Amino acid sequence: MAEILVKRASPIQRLSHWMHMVSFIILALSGLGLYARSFFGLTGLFGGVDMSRTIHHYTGIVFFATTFIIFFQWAHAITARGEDSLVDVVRSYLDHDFHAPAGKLNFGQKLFAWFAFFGGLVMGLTGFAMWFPFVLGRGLQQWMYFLHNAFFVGLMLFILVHLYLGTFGNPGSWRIMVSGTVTKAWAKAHHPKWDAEEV
Amino acid sequence: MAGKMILIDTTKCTGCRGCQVACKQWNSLSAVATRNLGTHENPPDLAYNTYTKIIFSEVEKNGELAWYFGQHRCMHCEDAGCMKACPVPGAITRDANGAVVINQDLCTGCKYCVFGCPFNVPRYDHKNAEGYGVDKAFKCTLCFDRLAMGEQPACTKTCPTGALFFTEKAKLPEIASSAAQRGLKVYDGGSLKTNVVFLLRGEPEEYGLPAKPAIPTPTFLWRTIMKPLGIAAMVAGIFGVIAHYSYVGPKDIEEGDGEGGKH
Repeated sequence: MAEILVKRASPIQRLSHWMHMVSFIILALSGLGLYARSFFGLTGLFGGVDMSRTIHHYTGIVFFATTFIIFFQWAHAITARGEDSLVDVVRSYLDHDFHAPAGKLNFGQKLFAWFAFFGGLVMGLTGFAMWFPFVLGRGLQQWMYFLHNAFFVGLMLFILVHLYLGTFGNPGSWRIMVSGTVTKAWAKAHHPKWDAEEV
Repeated sequence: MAGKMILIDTTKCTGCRGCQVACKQWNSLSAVATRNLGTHENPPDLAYNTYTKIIFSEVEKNGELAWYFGQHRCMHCEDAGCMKACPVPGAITRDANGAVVINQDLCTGCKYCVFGCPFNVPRYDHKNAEGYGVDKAFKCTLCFDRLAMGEQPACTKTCPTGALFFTEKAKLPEIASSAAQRGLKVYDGGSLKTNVVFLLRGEPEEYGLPAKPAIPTPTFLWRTIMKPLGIAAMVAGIFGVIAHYSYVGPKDIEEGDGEGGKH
């Protein structure tokens, strides 16, 4: 029996997501080196603190740009009104027999998308402020460091969950990143409304 | 800590700025173009090559003019904002004398200390288009190199009136009580416990000093609260994910028909 595959992400969507992911990993590793003195050794991965910081700056541009690109690629699905709630989504994470009545994106994915967009925006803007620290003035600039740190932690937590749910947590989801397709069974289980209406 | 301190008796200062010159000379700091600020105050501001500067302050007191001399310089805090902000191990340290010193060999030019200082002291040496500048932060070192040789700092050594006085930190209570008898306020940075202590005739603001100096709120939230909290949250997140995988397990929608679509 040949399995039925359903298209879920276009090549350009996948490419954008790969760029976003790779830039995030580089940013996280080079950023952690300056996050705390005990992590300073991580700057060695990039050949010392100067190169680590330079790579962090320019990789930040890629991450900032792809934040917008990905958000607008998915904007229709992110802003679509769904029938599922946060309670449904949490329950579906804990109960294998329960499936949230989700459209193309479920409530949790929409929440993640908004945070990824807003978080990427804040990280980019505060990041540029830290790159050119004598523009904003002393009082405002001090908050930029705090915000960059706070949103980094927030993004790390969201992305940890995103990474887990997209791979080990929900087998079959990784295909979206590789081939852009999912199985019909996957679509029906995880996104029943989307499966019924659009596929 | 058996530390040292610089006592600044502002009533004895004549505004000669000998300390500024001695500082530049000892630390081999280049000159800065002066600017007419309407007072005798110059150079215009602290800089990577200006570690100290006398503040000339004209204030009205009971209808009369009071001319106060303050000093803008590193206060060598025991709770130092620059050290809190610095991300490089060993780049800013405090020695046994209480001197807070930036090691330019380790400094990476991130400028966190510039914005973490409650007194706006550390300055960054830009690398300009001509390639001058070293991309590092600088500030007063309390002449830690002179202290190591049993000497006192260049500024206190040169001060002709004794306004700048180098002494033991332990003498502060004694000095404070005699200052109180003279009607002077002791300014020691409050909770920051600075190793540079002023005796003031007026209010701190009249000498260009912050009335209630503290580590900037965002710097405190960033380095003291968010940094450890963030590490704890990220570690907890990793364990949370592992726990979910272990106890709840993956949501395999194809598990019902064996190997699922893998035909």
